[in-house]
Amino acid sequence: MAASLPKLSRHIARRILSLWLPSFATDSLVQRRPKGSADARTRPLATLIEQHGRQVLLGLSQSARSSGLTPLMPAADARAMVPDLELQPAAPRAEAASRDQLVEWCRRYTPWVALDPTHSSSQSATGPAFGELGLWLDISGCAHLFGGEAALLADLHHRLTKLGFENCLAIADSAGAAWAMARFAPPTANRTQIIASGQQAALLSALPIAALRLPAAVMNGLGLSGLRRIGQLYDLPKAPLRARFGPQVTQRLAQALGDADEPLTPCQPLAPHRVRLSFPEPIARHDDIKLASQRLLCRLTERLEREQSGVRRLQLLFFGVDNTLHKIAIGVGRPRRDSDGLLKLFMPHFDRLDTAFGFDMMIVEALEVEALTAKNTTLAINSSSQAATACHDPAQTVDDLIDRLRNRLGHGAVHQLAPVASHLPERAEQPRAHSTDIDWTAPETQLPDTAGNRPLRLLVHPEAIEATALLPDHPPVRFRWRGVSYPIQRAIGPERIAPEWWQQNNLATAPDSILTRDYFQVEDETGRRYWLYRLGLTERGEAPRWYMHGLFA
Amino acid sequence: MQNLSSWPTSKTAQEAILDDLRQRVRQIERGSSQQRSTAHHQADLDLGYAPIDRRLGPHGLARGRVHEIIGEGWSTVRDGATFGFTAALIARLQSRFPQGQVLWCGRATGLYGGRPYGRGLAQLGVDPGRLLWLDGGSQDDRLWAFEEGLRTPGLLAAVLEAPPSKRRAGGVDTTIARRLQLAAEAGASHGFVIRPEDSGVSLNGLVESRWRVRAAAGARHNWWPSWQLELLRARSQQLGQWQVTWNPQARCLNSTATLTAETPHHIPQANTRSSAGNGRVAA
Repeated sequence: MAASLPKLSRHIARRILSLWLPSFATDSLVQRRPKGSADARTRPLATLIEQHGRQVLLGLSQSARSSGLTPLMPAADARAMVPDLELQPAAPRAEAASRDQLVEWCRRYTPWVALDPTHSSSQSATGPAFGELGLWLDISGCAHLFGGEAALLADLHHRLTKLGFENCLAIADSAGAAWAMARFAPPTANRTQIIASGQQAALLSALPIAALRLPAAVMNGLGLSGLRRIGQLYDLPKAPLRARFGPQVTQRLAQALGDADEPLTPCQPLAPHRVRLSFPEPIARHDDIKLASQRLLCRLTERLEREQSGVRRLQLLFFGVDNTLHKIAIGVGRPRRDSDGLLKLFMPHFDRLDTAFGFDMMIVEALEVEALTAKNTTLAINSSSQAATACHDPAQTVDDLIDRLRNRLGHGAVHQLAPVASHLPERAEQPRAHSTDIDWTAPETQLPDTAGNRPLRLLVHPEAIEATALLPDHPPVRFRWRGVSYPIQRAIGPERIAPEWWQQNNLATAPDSILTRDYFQVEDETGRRYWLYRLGLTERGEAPRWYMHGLFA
Repeated sequence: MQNLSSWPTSKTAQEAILDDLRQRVRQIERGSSQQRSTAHHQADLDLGYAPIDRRLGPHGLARGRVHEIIGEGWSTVRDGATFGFTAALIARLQSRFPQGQVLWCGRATGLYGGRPYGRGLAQLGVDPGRLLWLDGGSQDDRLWAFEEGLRTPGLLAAVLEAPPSKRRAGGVDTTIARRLQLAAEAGASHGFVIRPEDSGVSLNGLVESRWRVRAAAGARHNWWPSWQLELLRARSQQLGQWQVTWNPQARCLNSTATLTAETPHHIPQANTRSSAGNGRVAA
C-alpha cells in the first residue's frame, strides 16, 4: 500500500500488471445471461452497432475471431462467412456496468486499478474500442501477499477464466511494456507473461510498432519509412525522429522502456488506510465474519492510533469465492478509532449480507481520515471498563447514537430543523443534518411582529377542505376535513402571505404556490385548533379555495 | 418488620415508619437503589401546576421511566393536543437543563398529521435547535431507534409517535414494554410514547404514568393552548382530571378557569392587511 504512493516508487521497484480482455463485450454478454446455456461459450458471438446506416460487427468472441471475422465487418458478410454466428446489439451501458464491477473486483489484488484509456476514449490510438477492455494494476509491493508475481498472475488468470473472460496478462516494470507484452507477445501456453525487472528492452525489440500505443497516422508514417519493429527505433537518433514523426514516438518508447514516468490514474480514490485479511478456507458464518471484521478493525485502529487520527468513513469489502463482491460502507459524525464501536456500526449490515458460498478475502478501507488526539480513547483503555462507561461525555454518546441511527436508517433519517428567511410557511424551515450552528434566534429569520401564531405540525401537502364563509373575505363558519365537519367557534385572521416576487417563475411548474394566501387560525367547538388558508383573492376575481395546512396544540 | 404491638401512637413517629417503609419498597424496586439518588429527584419533572404535582407525588414525572400520552381514538392525527402536551413537557425539561438533546421519532407521512414545525414549537417555548428528528422507517425501525435513544445517557428525553397498527392489536406486547422500560432505566432519561387510543403499541400496565389529552376551549384573549388532561395511571394511584392552559412564557401549566378570569394582557391579533415586506404584499 505504501508502495502505491508515487514518492516511494523510486525505492521499491514499480511493477505493473496489464490486463487485456480481447472479447470483453461478448464475454460479459454471456456472463449476464442466465446460467445453463451450454453452447453459449462455443458458438461464435458478435455484437452489432449501426454505422452509416448499416449494421457492422463490433465486439467479437474468441471463436468468432478465429473463424476469420474482423471488427467493423458488415453483418451480412459475416453471416455469409459464418452461418451459425449469433449477433446481438451492443449494450454500452451494461458493458460499462460490467466493467466497473470488474474494476472493483480487481481491487482484491491492489488498491491501484487504472483503466486503459485507449479503450475508454473515442480518440484512441488504435481506433475505436472493439469490445475490448484493458486495465492496469499497480502491484508494486503487493505480489508477496499472493505468493509472488507468478502465483498472483496464475490466480488472476484462473479466476478470470472461471468468470468466463478470455484474458491476456503481463507484468513488467512499466505500464507501456506490460501493455505491449499483454497484446503483442508471442502466445504462450496460458497467455501470461512476466518480464523480469530491466529485461523489457530485449523483449520489446521484436514486437511490432503497434505495441507502442501510437496514433494510426504516426504508425503509417513509421511503416512507410520501413520501421516495423520496436527494436529498429532503439539506435535511431532521437531528435530527427521527433522532428519527423512528432514527440509521441520518443515519448512512448521511453515510457515503454521505463525511462520516462507514466502516471496511472486509479479508478477510485486511494484509501489512506487499507487492511486485508485472506482466509485459507472461505468463511460464511455470521460469527466468523464478525470475528474477522473485529480483527481487521483492530489492526486498522492500531495504525490509526500510531498516526493520531480517526476515521470518518469506512468500507468493508467482502470477496466471495464465486468472485462476487459485497461492500458495506459506514460513516460517523466525528473521527473515531474505537474498534468495538465501529464494529457495532457494521453489525446490523451483516444480517443482510448474502454469504452464498463464503468469502475468501476481506478488506477494510478507511476512506476518510481526520486527526484525532489520543485523549479520548486512552482514558477508556487504561481505566476499568466500568469507569470507562461512566465517564462518557454526554455529547459524545449522543453523537454515537446519531451514527448508529444513520447507519441503519439512512443518512437523512436524523435531522434538525433550521430556520430559513422566508414567509412562506413550507419554505420557512428545512431539515439539516445534525449540526450545532443552527440559530433559531437569528434576527433575519424571525417572523415579523404582525405575524400570527404558527402551528405545531404542518401538513406536507395542504389538504383541500370544504369551507363555508358568510362573506367572501370572512373566516369560515364551518369546514369539512377528512369526512368530518367542524363548526368553528372562534377565528383569528386573515394573515395574508404572498409568495416572494422572484417565485413568479414557478407559474408553470406549481401554479398554486404563487397565489396569495389568507391564513386563519380557527378553533372548533371542542377546542381543536387548525390553520386554514384561502387560496385566491375574490377581489381579483379568482374563485377562492380552502385548504388545511397545519395543526395547533 | 415493625411489630404491631409496638406501633407508635404519635403522628410523627408513624410518619417516620411509613417513610422508612416507602424507602425500603423503593429499594426493592428495580433500578432504584443507586440511581434514585437525591440528584435524580431534582431531575424528575414536575408540571408547574400544584394540583397535578400533588397527585404525582414528590417525584413528578419520574426520570428513567416511560410515560404514555394518548390522544383521541382516531386512526389518523386530527388535532395537535397530544403533540402539544408532549412539546410542553419537553419545553419544561429544556428550561430546566441548558444542555442536552431530545430525540423525537416522528412520522412525516401525510396522513399522520404532517411534519413538525419549528416556529410553532418555538412559540410554545421549545428550543427547536435542541430537537433531533427521526423520520420514516418501518414501525420496528422506529421502535428500535426509540429504544436506542432511551439507552443513551446524554439525551434529555426520547419521544416516540406510535402509529395505529392493527398488527399487534388486541394483545399487549409486554416484551416491547419491558425492553423500553429497561432501556429507560439504563439511560435514565425520560421516555414519552404518544399514541392514538387504539394503537397497536400499547404499553398497558408497564408505564410509569399515562395521560389522556384532549383539546379544550381555551382562554378568549390569547392563543395559549388549552387541554383537558386526564391522568389514567400514576404510581400514587391518585388519578384526576384537569382543565389546564399552557403558558409558553413561564413554561408552566395553569388552570384554565383562573386564566380566563384574569384580565387580558396580551391579545395576539393578526393584522388583516399586513404591511409590505419580504415575500408579503398588501393587496
